[in-house]
Amino acid sequence: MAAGVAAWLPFARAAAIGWMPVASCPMPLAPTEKNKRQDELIILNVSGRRFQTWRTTLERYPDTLLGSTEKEFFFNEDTKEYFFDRDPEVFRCILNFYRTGKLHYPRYECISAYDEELAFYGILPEIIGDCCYEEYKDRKRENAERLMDDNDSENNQEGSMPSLSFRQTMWRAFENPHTSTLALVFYYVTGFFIAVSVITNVVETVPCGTVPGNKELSCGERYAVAFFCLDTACVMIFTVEYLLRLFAAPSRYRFIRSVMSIIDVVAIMPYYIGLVMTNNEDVSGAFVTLRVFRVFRIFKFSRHSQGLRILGYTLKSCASELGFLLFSLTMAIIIFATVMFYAEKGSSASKFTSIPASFWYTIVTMTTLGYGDMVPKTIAGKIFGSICSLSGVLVIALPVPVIVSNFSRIYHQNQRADKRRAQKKARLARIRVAKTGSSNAYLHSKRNGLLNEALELTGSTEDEQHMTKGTSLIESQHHHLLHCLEKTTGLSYLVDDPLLSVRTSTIKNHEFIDEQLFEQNCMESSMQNYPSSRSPSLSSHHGLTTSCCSRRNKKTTHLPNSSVPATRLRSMQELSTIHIQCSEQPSLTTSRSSLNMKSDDGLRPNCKTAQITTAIISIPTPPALTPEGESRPPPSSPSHPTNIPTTTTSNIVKVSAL
Amino acid sequence: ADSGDAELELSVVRHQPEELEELLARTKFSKKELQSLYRGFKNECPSGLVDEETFKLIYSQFFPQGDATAYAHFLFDAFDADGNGAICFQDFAVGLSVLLRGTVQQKLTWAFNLYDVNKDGCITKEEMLEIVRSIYDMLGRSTSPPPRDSAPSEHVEIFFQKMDRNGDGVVTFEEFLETCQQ
Repeated sequence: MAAGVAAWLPFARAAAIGWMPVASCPMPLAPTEKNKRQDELIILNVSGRRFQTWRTTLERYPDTLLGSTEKEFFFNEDTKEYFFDRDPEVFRCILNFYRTGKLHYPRYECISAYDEELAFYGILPEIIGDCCYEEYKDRKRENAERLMDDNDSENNQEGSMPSLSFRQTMWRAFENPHTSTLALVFYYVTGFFIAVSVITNVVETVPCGTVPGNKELSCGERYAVAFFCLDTACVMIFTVEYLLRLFAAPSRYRFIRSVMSIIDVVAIMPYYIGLVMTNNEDVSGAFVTLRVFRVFRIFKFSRHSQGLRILGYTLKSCASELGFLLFSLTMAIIIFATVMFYAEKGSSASKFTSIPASFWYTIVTMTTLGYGDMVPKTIAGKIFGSICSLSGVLVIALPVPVIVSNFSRIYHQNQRADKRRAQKKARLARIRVAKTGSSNAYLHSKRNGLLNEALELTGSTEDEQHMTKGTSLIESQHHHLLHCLEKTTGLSYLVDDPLLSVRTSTIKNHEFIDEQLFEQNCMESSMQNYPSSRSPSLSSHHGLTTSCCSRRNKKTTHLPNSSVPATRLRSMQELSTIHIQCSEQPSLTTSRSSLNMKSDDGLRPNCKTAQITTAIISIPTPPALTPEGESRPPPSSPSHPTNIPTTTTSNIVKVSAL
Repeated sequence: ADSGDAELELSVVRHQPEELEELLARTKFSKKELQSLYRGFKNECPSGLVDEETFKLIYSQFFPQGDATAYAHFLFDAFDADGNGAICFQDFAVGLSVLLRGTVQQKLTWAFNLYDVNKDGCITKEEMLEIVRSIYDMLGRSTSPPPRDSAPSEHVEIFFQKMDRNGDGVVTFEEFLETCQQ
């Protein structure tokens, strides 16, 4: 039901009194309105811009974010308003939807940004009003095509990596000459021979010189052997090419049916037929006709020229317009031919001997050619002749712009596709650089971290401070996460320092050994931690855990001790109890972006394992370091958060920080 | 004639309701209620007037299974107190006030007015049949069991018998009141 109409519902219910006099049965009781509130103004703060509306306006659509209790998650107690960290421009449209019942799509907005906002607020795009729906759908389709295009070409590029069979490589070489130099050579060679073949066809009909007897000979007859050799060479090349393509085609049946292959066949057939039927007088006439088909070789150029392909494609797509043109022309020709015939019937020595004979005149006149070989002589004929030429202009001019615009559209699409492909390459290269940059940063800090661990074991601490500066909080959390991943799988990213790799193994041993120690510590700390979970001294990166870990069990259960897995479980639970602290908006979102993850869920499944691994990580370092751990600002290398596990609450809390 | 039409159009394009104070006096709504009512009204009809077509459209949305246009027509006539072919906010508010906050007498008067299609002070059988038929149309066919075609007339028979005390073929206001108040 539309929004505004809901306002009329009380009216309709009131009007139901009119049914009462004739009601067969008593009316049912009206539903009681629970907690009927006075309508109040709600303030929606979207990125600083304040929107105000009535509460009932929002409640018109209870299955959206704003209309349901879901918006309570965004309620800010301090300012008594609902804060959304989203785009205020798009929010304007969304709020208007609640007010007017119609969702509009602003043309200046990016389609994917708009879609995201709609998804966030829980509004289905199908609700978009008729005025804007077409635009929305068009742009969405364009975008999807573009994405598909990108994906396709990406797949094509990446598909080259896995081993292709010889056949597939050949097919790719044929279809896309830029893939290898051999393909390019082949491409140019065939192009050259097509040109040669066409030129010889043309030249062999040129008269060159006379032979004694005063007969004009064409070049073809004079240098018959030379031309024959040329022709043979070209046809051989074309045959070989055709056979190779046939061999390489993924679907031979489909290849045979395709237009290009038909052109190929038509181009080389006359030669073979000519070979077979040599000098048989009866069929030489037919043979001569066949030679005409040799000119189709020129269509082979369409493989080499994109413009030609576009033209062909345009004609195909404008088939209906062309058909209409043809049909209307035919109609007009018949009409005018008939009229001209009967008009000119009277005049003597008229060339308009029959209606079909008049067709020629009509066509020549309507297309404004006007050869002048047939002209009307009577007055009536001249009058109708002029009408004919005037109408010809109109009939032909009408469908032509449609065809032209189609051609232009397809041509521009192709241009755009090429441009996009070129831009993509540059873009992907840049993205790749950024990605390697971040993984390099991780390896760098890991190296530092391992160095630190090694140093810690030996007790020296001077270099630590030096190493740890220069990495931000986000980076340190990211690195910690990657470290957790390594620990989970037992594999690790390559650190190119042989000395360190030795030390890491020793560290691992220590980790497992000291688990018992950790377990005891955990028991103690769990007792202490639970009540103090909201201690304000916690460092800021707890915020992260709150959102993911706290959703798991929130209670500590004091399991009977001893088994290692149980320890892990407990520490996991314990880790999870610690973060109900919600002072800061989780850096979950920021870390998510820095990890380039595409979905929310990416982080959560990792949580479970991560917690286990933090337990492991957390063990090891001797309690001596604890005071240092406290004093140092949020650590950057993965080993530091692990400092923990002893008596101080704040340290343990750090453990859980993912 | 053209300028006259243009004038007429201009005056119809935007209609301002009576002062809030006057409406407060004429209806039994509180200020806040009137405000809220007007907001809803104006939202749906920015021009301030509801013509019959719009009214039928709105009313039909509440009864998607059947055809509410006939009944909406009668309802429109009942609301359109001054009979100018459009419901303005006064009509709307006053009518609603009667229906929601009026005395039983007032409500029944309103109902009688609804049934009396030609507003001649009495309800004939044909008028009642029209109303009842429109109600059945509104209901639609997808009930179980589906309504028989003779259902409206049967329905009218029963009720008309009950209402028409003196058996003169029409139901006057007094008879109507009496029957309904039993």
